[in-house]
Amino acid sequence: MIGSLANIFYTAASAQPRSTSLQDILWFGGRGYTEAARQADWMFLFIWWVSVFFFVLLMFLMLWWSFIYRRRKGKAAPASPRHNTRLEITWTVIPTIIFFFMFFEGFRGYININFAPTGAIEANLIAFQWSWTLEYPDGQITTETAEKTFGTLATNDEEAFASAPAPVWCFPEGQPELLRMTSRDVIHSFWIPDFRVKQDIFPNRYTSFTFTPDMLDETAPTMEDEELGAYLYRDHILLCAEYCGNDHAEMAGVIRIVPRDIYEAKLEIFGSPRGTLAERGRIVSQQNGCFSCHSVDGSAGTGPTWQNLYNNSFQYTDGSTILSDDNHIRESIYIPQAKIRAGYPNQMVSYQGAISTEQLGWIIAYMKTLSEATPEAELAATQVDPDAEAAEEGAEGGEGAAEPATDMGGMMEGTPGDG
Amino acid sequence: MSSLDTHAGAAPQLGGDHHGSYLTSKGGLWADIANWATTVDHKKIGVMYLTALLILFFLGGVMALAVRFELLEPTRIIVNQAGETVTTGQRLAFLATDGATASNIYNRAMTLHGAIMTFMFIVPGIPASLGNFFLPLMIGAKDVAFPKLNLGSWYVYVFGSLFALASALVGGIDTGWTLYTPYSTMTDADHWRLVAMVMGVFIMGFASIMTGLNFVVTVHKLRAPGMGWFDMPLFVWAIYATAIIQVLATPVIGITTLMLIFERLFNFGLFDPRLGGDPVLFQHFFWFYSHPVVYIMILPAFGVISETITCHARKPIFGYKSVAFASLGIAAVSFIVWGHHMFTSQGELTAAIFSFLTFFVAVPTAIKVFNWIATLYKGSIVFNTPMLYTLGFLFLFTIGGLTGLPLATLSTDMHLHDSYYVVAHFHYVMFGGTVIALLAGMHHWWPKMFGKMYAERPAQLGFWLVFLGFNVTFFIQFIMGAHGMPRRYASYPDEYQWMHLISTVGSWMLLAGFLVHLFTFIHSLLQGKPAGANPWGGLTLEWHADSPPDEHNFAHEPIVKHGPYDYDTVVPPHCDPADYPLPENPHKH
Repeated sequence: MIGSLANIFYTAASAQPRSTSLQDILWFGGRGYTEAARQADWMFLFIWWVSVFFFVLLMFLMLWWSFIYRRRKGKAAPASPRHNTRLEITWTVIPTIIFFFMFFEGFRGYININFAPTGAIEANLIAFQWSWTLEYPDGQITTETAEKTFGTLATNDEEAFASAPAPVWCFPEGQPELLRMTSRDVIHSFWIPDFRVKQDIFPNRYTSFTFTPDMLDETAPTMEDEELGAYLYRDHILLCAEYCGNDHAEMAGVIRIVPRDIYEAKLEIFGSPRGTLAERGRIVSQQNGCFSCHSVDGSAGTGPTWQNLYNNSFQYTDGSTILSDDNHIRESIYIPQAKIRAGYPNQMVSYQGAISTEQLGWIIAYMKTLSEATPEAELAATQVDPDAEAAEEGAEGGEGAAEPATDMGGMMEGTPGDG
Repeated sequence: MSSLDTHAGAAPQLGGDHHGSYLTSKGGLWADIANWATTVDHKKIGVMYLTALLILFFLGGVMALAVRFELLEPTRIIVNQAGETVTTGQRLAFLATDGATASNIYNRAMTLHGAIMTFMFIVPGIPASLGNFFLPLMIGAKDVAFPKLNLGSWYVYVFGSLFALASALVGGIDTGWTLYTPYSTMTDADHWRLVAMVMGVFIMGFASIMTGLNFVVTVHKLRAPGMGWFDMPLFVWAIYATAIIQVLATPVIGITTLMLIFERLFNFGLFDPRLGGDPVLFQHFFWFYSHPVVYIMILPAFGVISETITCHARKPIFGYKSVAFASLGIAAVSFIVWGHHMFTSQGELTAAIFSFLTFFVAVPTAIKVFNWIATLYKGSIVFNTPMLYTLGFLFLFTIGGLTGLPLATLSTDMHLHDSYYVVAHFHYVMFGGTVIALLAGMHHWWPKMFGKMYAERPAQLGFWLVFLGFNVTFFIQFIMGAHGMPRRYASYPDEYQWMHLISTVGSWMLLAGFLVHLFTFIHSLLQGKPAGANPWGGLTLEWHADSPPDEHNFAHEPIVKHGPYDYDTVVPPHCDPADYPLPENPHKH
């Protein structure tokens, strides 16, 4: 009975799901983008207005009585009753009824949030310190990244970018999705504020996360894409909400809602990685979250930067100086605790089994492009035309290696289908 | 006119066969130090607890200011006009040594703030300081039931704090005060820093158990003749309910911290999934203690407010029994709601059960607020600092309580959980509730504790700075959280910066407020006017004693002949009836 009452309120509230009311903007910065989110928002605002009513009532009485019954010297306070059973029963029963309604409605909304409708797209998500990978049903992994995940970082005419690129995952509009999630190390939590849901991710079990994003509407921006043409899309930020260590605050991502045909076209692109070995290496590094600790532009991070790493020598905690050659890089990825670079924590976990031998070769090819001290470069320096020679030598891994190593902004840009 | 059988009028402060107050010097600095260090006097132990607590509150506050300072602006990696890549906004980076990143420094400051404030300040908080001092006085006893155990608890508490501070001194830990596994068993932080911190929590648990046990027995056995259970002041009821939780819940954190230490040192595999353990099991253990402990923190505050609001409004409390039983009800229900900290990490049925139970805690809490506000009706209300803090408490705690409702509701908690909304709610309850009530109690009982008045106007300035500063700091965090700002983030998207800026400015206002209070308290100790035995016209038994009280509290054992809140029928002890007129036709109760 109480439930049906809420239905009437709620139906009225969701009659125009596209409108964003002032209270939505004040409280949430905008509307929710799933049916379940709007239901949760309705619930929140219901509690909010009930709370405002009681707060104003109580504070009015408190201040009003404090004022009119302020102490007057030599004047006794008028006698008044010490209790009133009828009043006390009333103010016990009324909150109890309201609380029961809140519990019941909250539980209903929770059920809607937590159970996936049939026919959902099921994807696997693995979280780790401090990023995540997502495998689409047929095993594809996104190659798209966002240079910055949210907000506008550009300030004072300065070019600005976030330290770690975040993965962009595309999903079709209006389609139920179900993520099966687990963690490689500690507890994380998967939160999409626009959908008003979060779910913890554990290292020893699977948890699931489901959502059905709204259809794209006229408010959605248009993406210009060389390969796929222009299409509508909508970005939703996702964040890690359970404290997970040093770079907890960097653990972000983007859910991109696209039309169904674009989603399918993208999966095809993800499923057939092309490009040079170095470019593939960049993609594999991205997919394994390497960039959440290692920068490629020389900026500081939890791990050493990859810029000018390859074929250069560095100091290690045991006092030795070691050349970062192919074998050392292999050891650093598969047995990272073997040698720790001076000034860095022993933080990295082994990627044995996670990165195949083939993929390791791609990563080394990619690292080469980031370093000026490659054997090819040394050789090229002795040649007449160093630029052309370097490009040719680098062609072992394809033309991608010719890209200037410092121009990483371009490589990390979220241009779709850049794999 | 006092209806108590104690010495009449103001007791002579000097000469005669009088013992002198508990503060009287024993001659010489070393003699005094030795005397205080070995005292079994509950009043001295209360003052020693208060001093230790305020030092730790200061340290925890410094950590909070550091956290807010770091959050003044987000971390930005930018290319400046000279073409250099620079990192800006990492304001704590100057503390980063040894390859630690700035966010790691933030994480440690955030952890130490939480650990110090909860385990070392607010859990012992009001019971150990004001409770120790006033519980025996309010029931007309000479001391607590086990005075040596009481002194022992102080040493255990200080010893435990030293462990935790030693850990902080060599770098601290970065696990968050909740110490969630497997992060706390995997983190690269030095073994011994984590073990020392957790060991400190383990040791301090015993201080809490000792205090609780002592208070339970004291209330049962040492009430003055004539004081039945329903003649006890509500502060005593609140401390009694708290003491029961302390005795029953604290062993759980003891065993949990021990398991964590074993896990860390000997790889027990209870919580570490790599060894077949379950990290969620730790959360259950942790919250099975740490939820009831929220009521260890807030119930004594309820008790303080029941005292200050009746005394400064000169009104019997409205609904004495419902306030008393609400304390016990809250204590009982507090044990079965721990799961509401884990709505996002457990199954649907469990979540539903815990959500339902959580609303049951809300009912007695709401009743208490209604009772306090009804007490103001037809009162004789004076706006001094304790009363301002009492009204401030009602304002802030009502917000804290109401904003808890969307967290108890499952569908809305899915969004708000682990966001700044929770941070704001928690601070409105713990700071807006407990710390504000502690300040109300400190100002209310300061004249009794030290026999000196504080300067009223500067103290009121302090109140306004704390009250406004608190709201500026924390109200915006509700909105920030609902907008999607997760907690425990060392950096954040730009869109939240204006909100973080407001919050940080608020933290500076809070600092200013506390500095004003520090000044008024020191000023009072040095130059305060003599308070007299009963400056507020209070009726509870502590106002029958001298200010500061004698070493043995009362010259003769008091015999209770009136209720604690009979402000409409009894002229307060040591007071002029002309100042405290009585109504002509009081309601009979």
